[in-house]
Amino acid sequence: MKKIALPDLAEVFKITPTRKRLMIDYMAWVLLVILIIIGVSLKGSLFFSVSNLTNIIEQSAIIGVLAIGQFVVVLTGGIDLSVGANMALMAMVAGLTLPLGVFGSIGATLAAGAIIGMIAGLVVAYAEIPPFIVTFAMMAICRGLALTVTKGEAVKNVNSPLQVIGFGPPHWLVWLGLAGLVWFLLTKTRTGTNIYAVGGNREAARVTGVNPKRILILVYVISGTCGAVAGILSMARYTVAMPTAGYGYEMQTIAAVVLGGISLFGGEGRFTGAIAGVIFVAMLRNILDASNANPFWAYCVIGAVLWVAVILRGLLERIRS
Amino acid sequence: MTELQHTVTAETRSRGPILDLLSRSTLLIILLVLAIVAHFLSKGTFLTSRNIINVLTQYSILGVLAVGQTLIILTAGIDLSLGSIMALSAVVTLSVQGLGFLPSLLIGFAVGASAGMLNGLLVAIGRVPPFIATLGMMQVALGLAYVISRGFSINDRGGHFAQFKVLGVSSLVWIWALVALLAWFISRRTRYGSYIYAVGGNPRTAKISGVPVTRVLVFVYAFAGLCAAIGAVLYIGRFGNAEPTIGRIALLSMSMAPVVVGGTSLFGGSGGIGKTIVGVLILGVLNNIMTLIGVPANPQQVVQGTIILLVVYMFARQERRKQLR
Repeated sequence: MKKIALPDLAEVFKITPTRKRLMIDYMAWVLLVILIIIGVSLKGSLFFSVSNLTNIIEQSAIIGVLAIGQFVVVLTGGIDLSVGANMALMAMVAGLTLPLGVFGSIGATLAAGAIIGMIAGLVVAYAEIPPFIVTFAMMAICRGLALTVTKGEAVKNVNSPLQVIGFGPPHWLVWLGLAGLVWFLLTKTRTGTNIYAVGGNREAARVTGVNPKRILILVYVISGTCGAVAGILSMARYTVAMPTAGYGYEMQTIAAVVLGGISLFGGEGRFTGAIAGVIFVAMLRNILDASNANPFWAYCVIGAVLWVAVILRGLLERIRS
Repeated sequence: MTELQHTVTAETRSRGPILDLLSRSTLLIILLVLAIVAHFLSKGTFLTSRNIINVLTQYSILGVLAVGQTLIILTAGIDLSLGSIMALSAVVTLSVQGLGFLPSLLIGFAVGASAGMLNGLLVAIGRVPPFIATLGMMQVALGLAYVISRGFSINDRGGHFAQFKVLGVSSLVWIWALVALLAWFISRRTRYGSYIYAVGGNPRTAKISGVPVTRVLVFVYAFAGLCAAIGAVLYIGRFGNAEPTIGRIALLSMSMAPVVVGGTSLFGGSGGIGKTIVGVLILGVLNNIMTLIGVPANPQQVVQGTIILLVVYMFARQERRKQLR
């Protein structure tokens, strides 16, 4: 078979390394614009109405909070497959501890989430087991615990003061506030630089005096805590916590951060890209919901989006320049 | 090519007969101790042939999935989607059962194998990391299973798939044994088998030595997909129905558990089908013990997750010690 000579893409489109970087970083934004165009053409002006857009932002909040944790973990070259199961467990913890008062409940849930994350982080850092195995086992453990604490029953809490952050601006402001906090941590502090350094080259980071183990534990603690915040938001919004909630959320968060241009091998990725990725995933679900198709098609579409995002990023990466 | 086969054999297959026997017998000793513990806990009913056949029948579905998973892990990959693929093929098989037994069986197999093949293509050609490619498939296959069944359970109306007994042992166990034997034969007695070990040992060296890495990867993922479809038939045979949620059953979605418990390295290139069979039996006996002492199903899931972590930790430490030596 004769090999077809492909034209050198880098030469044809004059792709310099800086332009390549820009393409990867802003992939999610470009895809977002394309999706908006599709949305408008399907639903007309309804899609661009203020109520629908705030809807999309509101629907992004819980996945968005989980994606923050996922982003930080993937920056170190890891992955957190337990975010969905962790969120389900945390929502139940929040519901069960509500008798302690709102702040007691929030505090207990955050602590529980941080502990779950810390266990995963300790195992990843000290046992040097691949993160996807650690967090896959963690997923089973969280799911099992969530099913055990109430023997499979849902936790109900109607009319709790927690519902204040269940809807409207307070709901998504929690997300954006947390995003701002982590953005500050990543870009303005020494710790943030160290997280990027550990993801980029662990050995080099160690030589320059960074303790990679401490950073690894920290990122999983951040992800576990994000799981707790997402659990609280979910309890506040739905007033019921189901042990089976959050199934497939791990994939939505991974799809979001990959669309945002992060490298799955760690060390590279812009935080704002991940936010765009989250909105993209939420908008996709919004369009699918509106199209009256079987809701389970969403599973397939988001799975396919994950594949396309990873392949696309890999292709952009491999363009010679 | 025979030269490559020899080096692979020398490097990854055996570390000398005595060491091999010792490491293999460690697992068997664990299994034996567990069996004796179970025997006492059950006041003498565990080690009866009836109970053993029961455990084997219960774990045959997981066993078939684990056989497929083993070949993938030998190439340093992982498949998180086998449970979902099983659910998809089970739902497809039963929704076309009107066509007759054999056509619906073959359609189910084709669905499983093509889903697996797509995984393989994504990994080998799309260069998607295996756990990402198969994480996507986990959702895609599950979504399709829901769409096709509309979320309902489908019954095996004719009872064509129902299990039957051969020599006093359920057909499920026989099928598991056949699939395991086939995979063992492929991995140990054919050229493709040595390719599988070579790709897992060091993909770059394998490629340079002329191993068709892409084809090998597509083959193992497709084979695992086929195993998932066979697992689907066993599931139908045991329960008489199928629904999309069967892919989310904790035990079945964790088909890598028996593989790592058996001692196949997650980094590829070492381990094998025999170890996986022992791994399935260890998990089976362990769960049987937990049931005997009255641990309900959900906490068992927690224990299982913890066991995976402990075992992987153990093997990772062993591996590092070996490297240091």
